[in-house]
Amino acid sequence: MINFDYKIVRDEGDEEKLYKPDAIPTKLENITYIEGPNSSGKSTLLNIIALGFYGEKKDSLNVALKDKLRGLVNSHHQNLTFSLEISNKDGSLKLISEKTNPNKPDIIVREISKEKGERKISRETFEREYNLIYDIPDNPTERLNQLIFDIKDEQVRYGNLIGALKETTRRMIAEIRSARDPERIQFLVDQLKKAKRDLEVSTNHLKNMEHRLDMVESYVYCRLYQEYSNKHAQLSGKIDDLTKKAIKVQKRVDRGGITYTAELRAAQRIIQDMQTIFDTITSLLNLVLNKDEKFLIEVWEKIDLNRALNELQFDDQLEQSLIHFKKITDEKLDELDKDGSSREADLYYGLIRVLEAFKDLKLTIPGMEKTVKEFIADLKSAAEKYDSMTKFKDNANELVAELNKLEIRLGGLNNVTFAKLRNLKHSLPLDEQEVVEISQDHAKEEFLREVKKCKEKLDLYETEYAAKGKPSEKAIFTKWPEAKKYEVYKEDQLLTEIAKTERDIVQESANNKDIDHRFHSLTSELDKLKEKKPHKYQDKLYFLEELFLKLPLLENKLMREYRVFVTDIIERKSPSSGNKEQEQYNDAVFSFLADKIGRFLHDRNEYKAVKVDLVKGIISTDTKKIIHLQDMGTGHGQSAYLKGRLNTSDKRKIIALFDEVAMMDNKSLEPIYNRFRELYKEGKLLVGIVVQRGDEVKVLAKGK
Amino acid sequence: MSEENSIEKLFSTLLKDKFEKRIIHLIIQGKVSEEIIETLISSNDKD
Repeated sequence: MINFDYKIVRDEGDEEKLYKPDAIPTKLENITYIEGPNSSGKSTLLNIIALGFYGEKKDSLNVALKDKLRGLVNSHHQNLTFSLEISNKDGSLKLISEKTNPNKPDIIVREISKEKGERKISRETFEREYNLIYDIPDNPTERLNQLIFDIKDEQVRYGNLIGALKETTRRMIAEIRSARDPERIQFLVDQLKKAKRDLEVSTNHLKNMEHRLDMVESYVYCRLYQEYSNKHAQLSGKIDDLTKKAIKVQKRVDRGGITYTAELRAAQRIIQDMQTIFDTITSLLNLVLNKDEKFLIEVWEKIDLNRALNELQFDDQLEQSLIHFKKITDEKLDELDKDGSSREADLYYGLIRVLEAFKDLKLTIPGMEKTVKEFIADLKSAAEKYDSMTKFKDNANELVAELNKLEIRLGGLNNVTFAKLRNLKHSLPLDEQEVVEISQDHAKEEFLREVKKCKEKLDLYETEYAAKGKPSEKAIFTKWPEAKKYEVYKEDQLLTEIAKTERDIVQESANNKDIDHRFHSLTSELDKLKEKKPHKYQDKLYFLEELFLKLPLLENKLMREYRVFVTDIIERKSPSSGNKEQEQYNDAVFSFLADKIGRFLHDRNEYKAVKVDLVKGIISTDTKKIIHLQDMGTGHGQSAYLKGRLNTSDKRKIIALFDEVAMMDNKSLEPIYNRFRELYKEGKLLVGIVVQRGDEVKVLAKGK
Repeated sequence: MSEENSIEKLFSTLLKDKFEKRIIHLIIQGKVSEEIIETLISSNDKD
């Protein structure tokens, strides 16, 4: 049933006239035929129904009709109010549209249904659930073509809905990602356990390293303090000797052009150089010789190189010692090579050197499940046991080199300089009156510098040693037996060891901070995640991501590709040659249009459309007859067109309004009514009104 | 409305992908986005 009422107050210049339904009853059956003269209100009724259900905004509505609808609400010369109520056959659904304020364009649409109760219906909801068809088939042949606009509209509608579906999918994915994800929680728990373990390991490591540094420093400062203390005492004792002891040399008359004194001074410089080498050898011997060989050092230290300047020859003990020390040092090195540990150490240090260049890589080494950095740390830890041996080997090699250096200088002095001086001494006459002193000033200055340097170092090491509480060497070895290995280290090696340990601590501190930061970040993320609720599609994330990737393709097909194809049909353009996609599209659309028209009358015969080719303007039929659209009778054309409009494909409820069907006789109209009835019976039609001009008002219910 | 003359048949002919056909089918049935997703997930689970 359709209940309606309206008031239009129109300013006609000389008067304000009120228009309201008076010729046509305000209660109509859902399927109705109305005939009447001009101004009987039949078109106004259709306009108000269309306006009441968002017809003004419907894209596919005929432009002329849309203008009429706009005129009803937007004209300055008239004001409209109306109320419409449409109920379905069993009264389970009511659709109400009202415009109560004559001065405002607002129209309120409501729906009352048993299923959903009462609710306001927005334009979007209306278009999703209802289908307003309002048409004037005034030029049927041309309008038949307009069925294609329905397809275009549907394509755009589906495209928009897919756009909305894509947006909903995107939103859901974002919701799932930020929701409580059990997999992510488990992942974080595992990561947190690992970070906690790493942090414990690193903290312990750091603690051990700090202890180690403390012990290394204690040992180093203890030993160096003692060494410099002894050295300083020794040197201090020698200062007095040096002052007293000037080398007195009898000056010989130099008659042959050879300066005896000059040669003697050259020998003195060489001996000073040898003294430096001699001291280095002494210090290396202390590191290389075993305890039971240390007595040899005592013998060695008694050698006085300066005496050779007076006697023009070195103590035999020097040469014998050199030979003996070289022999025992070589034996020690040979022993190490035979042992194999030297080669093992070479392998470790070689690997560490190579890997250091790649330590920033996040790569996990296959088969080890460790990063390059972790592997280097393992190698360094394993290589530590070779440190002592390596340092010993370095010192032994250096000792051999220094012994060789001293041997060469010894040979040079003995065989050349001293030989020459000896010859001169015997051949030149002695000037008994003249005895000169070869100045020891330069040597003395050098010596004092050395004493000063020694004192500075002594002070430094004493301060550092005091800071460590001056533990005895024995106490250090008891507390930290590992310190024993440093007995073979030289001063620079010991200081390097301290610097290296400090550097390792700095690195490990940074690593410890990184792990601590990771630990707190993971804890914070885990806490936040635990507070969240899980999403119902948590385990469907992958599926939704797949869907999200596929939807743009479908959207593009509908909104771009098919849009171009349908526009070409509207503009009567054939597909470009070879465009199979477009040919298939056209074929499918032409079959679809034929399905919409179904059976139709032409030239007193009934045909079934097989294809409606709008590009060529022909209808192919099941009897192989081809009918050109322009040859179709006007009434038959209207009938075919309106039937096509009614053959909608979706589940939306139809409100069908057909005006000006003047060219159609009863035979042409009957298929329309039949279709109305079918749809009404199926519950898919709410309103079906057909209107045409007539001399008198005639309203017929066509539902039965 | 019979299946033969429905717009669904048109899109069923045009679209080759089964998944795309299914989405259009659900849209034609008047389902909103959330319902479409729910139905797709449900049928995917059954598969």
